[in-house]
This record gives sequence, C-alpha cells and structure tokens, in this order.
Amino acid sequence: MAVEEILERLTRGVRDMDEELAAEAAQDALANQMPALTAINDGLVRGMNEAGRLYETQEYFVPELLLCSDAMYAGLGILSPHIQRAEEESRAKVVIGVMQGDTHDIGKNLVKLMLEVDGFEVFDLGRDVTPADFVAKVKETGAELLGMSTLMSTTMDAMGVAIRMLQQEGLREQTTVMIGGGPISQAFADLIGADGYAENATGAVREARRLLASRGAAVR
Amino acid sequence: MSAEIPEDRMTPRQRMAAFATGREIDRLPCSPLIGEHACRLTGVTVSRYSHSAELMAEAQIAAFRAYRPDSIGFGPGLFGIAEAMGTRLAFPENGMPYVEDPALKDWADLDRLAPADPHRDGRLPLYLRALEIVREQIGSEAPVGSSVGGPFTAAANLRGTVDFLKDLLRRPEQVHRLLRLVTESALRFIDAVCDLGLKPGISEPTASGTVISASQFREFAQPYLKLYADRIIERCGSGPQLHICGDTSRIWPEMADTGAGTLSLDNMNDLAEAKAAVGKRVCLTGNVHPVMTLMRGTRDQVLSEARECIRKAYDSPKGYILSSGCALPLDTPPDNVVALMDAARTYGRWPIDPERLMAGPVSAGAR
Repeated sequence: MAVEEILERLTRGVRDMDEELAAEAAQDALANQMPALTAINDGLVRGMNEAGRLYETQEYFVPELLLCSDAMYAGLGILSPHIQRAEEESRAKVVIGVMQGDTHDIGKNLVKLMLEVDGFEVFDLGRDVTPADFVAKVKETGAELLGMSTLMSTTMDAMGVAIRMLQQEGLREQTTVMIGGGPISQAFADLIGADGYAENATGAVREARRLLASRGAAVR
Repeated sequence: MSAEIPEDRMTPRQRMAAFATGREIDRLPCSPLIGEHACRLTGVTVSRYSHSAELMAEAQIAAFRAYRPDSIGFGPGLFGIAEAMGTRLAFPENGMPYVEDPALKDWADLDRLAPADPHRDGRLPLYLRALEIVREQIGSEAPVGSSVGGPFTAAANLRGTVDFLKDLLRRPEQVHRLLRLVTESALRFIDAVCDLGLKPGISEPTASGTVISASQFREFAQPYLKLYADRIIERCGSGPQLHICGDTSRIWPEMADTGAGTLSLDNMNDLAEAKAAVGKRVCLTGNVHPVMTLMRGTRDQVLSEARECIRKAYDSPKGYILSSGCALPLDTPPDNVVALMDAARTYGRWPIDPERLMAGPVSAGAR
C-alpha cells in the first residue's frame, strides 16, 4: 500500500472522527514498515490539526473534537509502542492539570491533546490537583511550562498560590505559567502574574508557542 | 461626588407586576442569580444547605432581606433532576456539588430509568418544601421562583458529560430517548412548583454556545426546552426565564423560539447586540461579570459595569432586568451585590435619563 494513502487514511480517520479507520490505518502503517513517528506526525497529528482548524472556524465544536480525540488515541495506542527512541527528538515539557477543588476536565484534556499534537511532552496530573503537587511535578520534570485549569470561581485563587510557591522554590523564572477555564480571563491572568491565558485549546497551543519562543526556549 | 441612593418606592412584587404589564415602575428591576451564594449569608456550609429545606429557606430569605432583589429563585438547578433519576453527586463541605457517578454509564440501562417523582425522589422534595417556606415568608413581598435544569444539562448529568457529547454524534436516537425521559421528569417537577403557585425558570448551562453548535442546539436542546416552556406558559400564563452560559449569540432566535419570556445572558455576550437581535421578542437580563466584577471587583467597578449594562439595554423593547451574567460565585462579597442593587436604584431610577448613563466616574455614593 502506498505510503501516501496510509497517511491520508490516518489523517482522515482522525479528522472525520472515524476511530476504526484510524486504528486500521495505524495497523497498515506498521505492516508496511512505516516508521511509527512518521505515521503519527504526518498522519494522525495532521488530522488533529485539521480538526483544530475546523474548530476554529466553528464547523466543529466540543462533541466533534472529543471524537477526533478518541480516533487520535486509538491510532496512537497502536503506533506508540513502536516508536524508535532514536526517532524522538527532545521536546518541551508541560505539566498540566485541573486545580484542587474542581473535577471538570474536558477543557484540560483538549488542551493536553492539542499540546501533544503540537509536539510537547505532557505530564498530566489529572483533576483536583493541589498547588503543591503542580509545583512538585514542575521541579521533578524540569518542565518549561505549567498549565492550570479550572471551571470554578471558588478554585481560581489557588492558581495564584501555585505561582507564589513556584517563586518560593526558585522555579518561577524558568517556568512559563499558563491558565485557562470558564471563569478565567486575561485580566485574571495579569492579576495573579500568570504569563499567558487562552480562551480555548487551539489558542492555548499558539500562546504556549509564542511564550516559549519569546523566552528563547528551545522547542522541538 | 457622592450622591444619595434613592429609596425603593415599590416592593419587588409590585414592581415586577407593573413591569410585566408595562405600567410605571420606580426603578429598573434587578435580580442577580443568587443561588448557593445565599448560604454565605447564614454561615452554613454548601453541603448542609444542600440537604436541609429549612437551611435553604433560611439562607434564601436572608439573601432577600439583605439585597431586596426583584425575585427570589432557587431549586434543583443543574444536578437535581439527574440526581432524582439516579446520578450520584458529591457534596464538598464548602464547594459546589458535582457529579460523582452518572446513572447511565451503559445505554443498556436506559430501560431501567424512570421519570422522577418530585415528591419522592432525590432532593426534589427538599426543594419543594424550601420553596413553600420561602413563599409563606416573603411571597407577599417578592415573586418566588425555582430554577430547574434544562433537558440537555440534565441528560448530560445522567450519562456523564463527555460521553453524552460524543453520543450526540454516535447515538442520536438514544440521546433523544434520554432527552424525552428527563423532560418528563422535569415537567413533573415544573407541575409541582406550579402547584405551589410559583413560576419555574430554566438554566441550561451544558447547551452552551461554546460547547455545542447551533445545529446541535436546534436538534437536541430546543425542542425539549420548548416542552418545558409550553408547560410553564400553560400553568403560569407567561414564558420562563432561560439562562444559557457562554456565547449564545448564534442561538438567540432559537432561544426565543422556545417560548421563553426572558433570556438571561452570560457576560460573554453584548447586550446591545442582543437587544438588536431579539429585543423585540423577549425581555433581556444580565450580564455583569460574576467573577471579575462581582466577586473580585470594587463597589465602583460593579456600579460602572452595571451602568454600562443599563445603558446598552434599558430601552430594549420587551424590557430589561439588571443581573449577574451567571450564578454569583459563592464568595461574592455581599457589599458588591448591594452595589449591583444600588446601580439599579441610581442609574435605573425611572424615568431613565440617558445623561446619567454616560461613562465617567460613578456617582452612587458609598454605603
């Protein structure tokens, strides 16, 4: 089977929310000795990027992105174990999670996926994460970026607490902090001294790239 | 310069009755979405408040006494209908409840779900009892209502929101069956509220314009919202207030088509645009920023943003009610809610003078 055709099916599987097609095409990629990373980057990731564009032009909304995400992970599940470590370049690290006291994680999961698709190495702490746990994970991984999310107005202030803890740990200078979620705004980000804010998942990736570039960080 | 704040010259009940029939009022109505914030006024935890009709009633009455809003409304809200049908909620001591275990993890269980009985299931009887107490104590002074979660929100909380959203595309027939079932539950609760002589309102946050598309709204939310509104119109004589979170500009006409009498708009929306788009069809309410302004802002910031809202919408053809853009955050300082009311008393004093609404330093003095 032609390489181009396999890549096209991987892309289409993700973009058109077709989990079976994405999985099938991933199997075909392996059967044809395609490097797993090529199949991921030039197939699945391209599909997710196309889905992201459809989201930005409001042809897709959250339900569509959730299904694209399922197709993406179906393909990744098959391809990831076959990545040759040497193929993998060094990537910027992100620690991400939903703030303590909140369990809404749809938005966080979409941001996580779009960051992964864009080449970041993401450490996902899940939901109900304490400020101390965010900071500990940044310290442990040496992440360049910390992303915190909440949908609840009651838990927003803990984002400021996490930023102060980063300062106390001497990690603030080297860590770019981004926040997001329903009650969050640019004004709130400015207020607590976060570096960046975005309204949605695709915006978050652009903002992450912009912030890291402005710091001169080496990204991919 | 510090000006006097004009005293109210009508009770909320008199004002809303006059407002509804286009007669003269003393000032623009103001009804912030108080919700669970009320429990901060009586010092009970959200979790205790959520489990006692007496504590709910006490808190809502305290909120009425403290703020004198033009209506008091509380109820099963986002989760109550799903909970009454089997979804398990978690109640953090001092945060908002959330879904811990949705009832319909497997569609095979759909046949086992039954419509809720408002007098027996979940915490619905607690809300009905609390509404009755509040009506007895302040019903003569203010309209009392009850917020009931919309069909889309209730169904999402039965199925689990992520799976529910995916099922819109994967299993639309099942989704419609579920929506019919939750609508039946909600209509029974609506009837029970109407039996108390009170008028229900609808909050439908999950059908947010930032989550689903306009066509998904038309297919999966609007027809069922219309059934709610039809029943409320039949029982109360006029359409309910409908609150949907997020940017709803693409679905304003559809929201009006449900039969809602008042559209409650999130702070993401522009009241002037809404007035131009649907002001001839429905009353508008909103949309002072609940977090950045009401929870975190100063009194002057509240006054200034409220004045801006009034300036944009006071002359909307079907009327305008000043309010928060969404439910008040739990820890909103009570002084800021008073400031919102004072904005209605000062800038909304009848007849409204457009000069008073021009930008510049706010002049509704400190209390």
